Amino acid sequence: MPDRNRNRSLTKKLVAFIIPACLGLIFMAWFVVPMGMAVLWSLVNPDYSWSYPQIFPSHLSLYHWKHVFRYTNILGAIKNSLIVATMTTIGSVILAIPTAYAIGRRKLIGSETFKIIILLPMAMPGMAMAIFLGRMFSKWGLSNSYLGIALAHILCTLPLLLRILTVSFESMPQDIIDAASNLGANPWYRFKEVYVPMIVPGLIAGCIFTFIGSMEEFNLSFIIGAPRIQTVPTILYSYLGYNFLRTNASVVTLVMMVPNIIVLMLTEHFIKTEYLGAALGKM
Amino acid sequence: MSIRLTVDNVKLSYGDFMALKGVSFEIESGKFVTLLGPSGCGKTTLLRCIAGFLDPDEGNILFDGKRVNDVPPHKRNTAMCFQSYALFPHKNIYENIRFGLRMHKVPLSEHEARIHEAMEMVGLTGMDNRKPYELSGGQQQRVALARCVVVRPDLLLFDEPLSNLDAKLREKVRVEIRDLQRKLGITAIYVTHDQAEALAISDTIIAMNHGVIEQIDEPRRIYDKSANRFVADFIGTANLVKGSFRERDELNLVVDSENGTFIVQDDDYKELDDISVAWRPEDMVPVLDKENPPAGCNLVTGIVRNSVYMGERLDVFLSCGNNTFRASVARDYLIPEGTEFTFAVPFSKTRIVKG
Repeated sequence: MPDRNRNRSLTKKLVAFIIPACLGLIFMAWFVVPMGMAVLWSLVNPDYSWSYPQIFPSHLSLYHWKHVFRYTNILGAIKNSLIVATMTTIGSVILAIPTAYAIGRRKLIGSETFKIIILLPMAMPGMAMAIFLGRMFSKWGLSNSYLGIALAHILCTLPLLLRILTVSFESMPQDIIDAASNLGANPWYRFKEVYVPMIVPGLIAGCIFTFIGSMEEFNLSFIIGAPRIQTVPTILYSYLGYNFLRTNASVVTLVMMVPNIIVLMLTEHFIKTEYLGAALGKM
Repeated sequence: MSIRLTVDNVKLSYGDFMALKGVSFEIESGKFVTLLGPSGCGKTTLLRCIAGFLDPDEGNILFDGKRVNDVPPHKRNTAMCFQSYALFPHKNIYENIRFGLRMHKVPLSEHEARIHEAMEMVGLTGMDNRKPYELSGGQQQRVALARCVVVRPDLLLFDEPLSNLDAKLREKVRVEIRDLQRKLGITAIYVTHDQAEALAISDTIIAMNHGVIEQIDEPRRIYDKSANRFVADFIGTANLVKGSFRERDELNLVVDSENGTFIVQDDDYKELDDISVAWRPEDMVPVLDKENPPAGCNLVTGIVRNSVYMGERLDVFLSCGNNTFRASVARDYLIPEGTEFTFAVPFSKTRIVKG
């Protein structure tokens, strides 16, 4: 008996401590190390090189930060990125909710096939899509406009959002919808009071993916937006191409992370336990 | 407030499968009626037709004589308790119960009083801010019940509301449901596959099988005077043996069967072709003195296959020729397995059923 108890407490420890600790270490390696490197690289003093075997740069300075903010329009790019990401998110949601409803709740012929087809844009290389879309958009006068970039981004972000929302709609028990109409809810109230609150967890997750995906998208932003509309990734890529500057790229990377982190924190703030309840509650 | 429901020749198929093959009945206002049958018999389909979730292919559903086939569910003023409870997981108890009031555009000033009244009726006082997932199954079903009665519906619908609860709680909530329905006087339709539940709760039982109604009767009659083999066998336990009618001697009908001749006193039979003799296990009386069997009884003799002590009763499985009959006797008897034993069934407790 004591042996079994010891085994059980070992299992408990494993679950409660060791597994999270391992995950924590992986997280460190995967996230904190590159982040730390980016911070260090952005602070390297150009007059003193940082090379092997030094673990840390010998001298630090804000030179590259000043340089990036002086010689590129990074604040304008942040604004552009935010405008495009917001348009993309709103547009994707408007398109995705009715579509996901139709696929998830209505018995449509061929909806299984359709579910696969909507994922196809994700399989297409971004650059290939960008080149053909760029051609079409310049013909239709959509190049160099927020609308053009946002439309192109929607094409990339929609499949994932659609997929997430379709699952949200599908997993909703029919009884709950029936209960609502049985209690006198017309279609509009059913949508507002039952469908929307119950897809909120999926919707928020999908919006985060959409927003961040749009913020970080380069191919389409560059081909459709350049040269008039610069987004943060187009500035970043300018330091990663022919004239490779790791220091400035680090600065831009860190700048790019700021809006994303803000979005994540805001959503974290707004996802309340009640929505977790909606996702996890007994049904 | 409360309405008379008429179901007139309702038919509905799912593809090739006919779930309802022409069902008709009428329920008087304020009655508690149970649709009883095995799974797949069409009882839930019928309930969903009445609620408006399903459209019958043929036939009419009438509320107080008015056809409602084309009225969408949210305008029918019915309220349904689901087997899954179907509470809104994102709303607390108070808001769950309030939902119907808001949808029916009940003045805001009435909400609180009505909600608390409903919560008190089902014993949920003080649970306003709890979330459905924080409640036990029994409590969740009570919330569902309160959510139904608070809108003062014309028709209460129950779709196996107790089948997710444990046996003790089931009996308790079943009594509560019945009391509440009686107090409010709302016509109720209750779907279940549990015959004990149906007998205990209903004014009238509608026994269904394979999409047709087998019998409509009050509980006592449906048990004692089952119309056919299916009803006798499904509701309670019945001993059944195929028989053929021989003759009639005043009150007594003489029926031959492979287990001998039975005398049946049954003034309720309709046909005498394709019949079985039926009797209930609890009507079998052990014959201790074989030389002097009780008068006015059919005697059934066989080998005791099993003798099962159930606590409240002793169940005896008796092997007679190709048939096994079940006797349920007082728990004081000791009837050893493997012995030959005789039971007496009073003529008046022996019945003829169709099929």
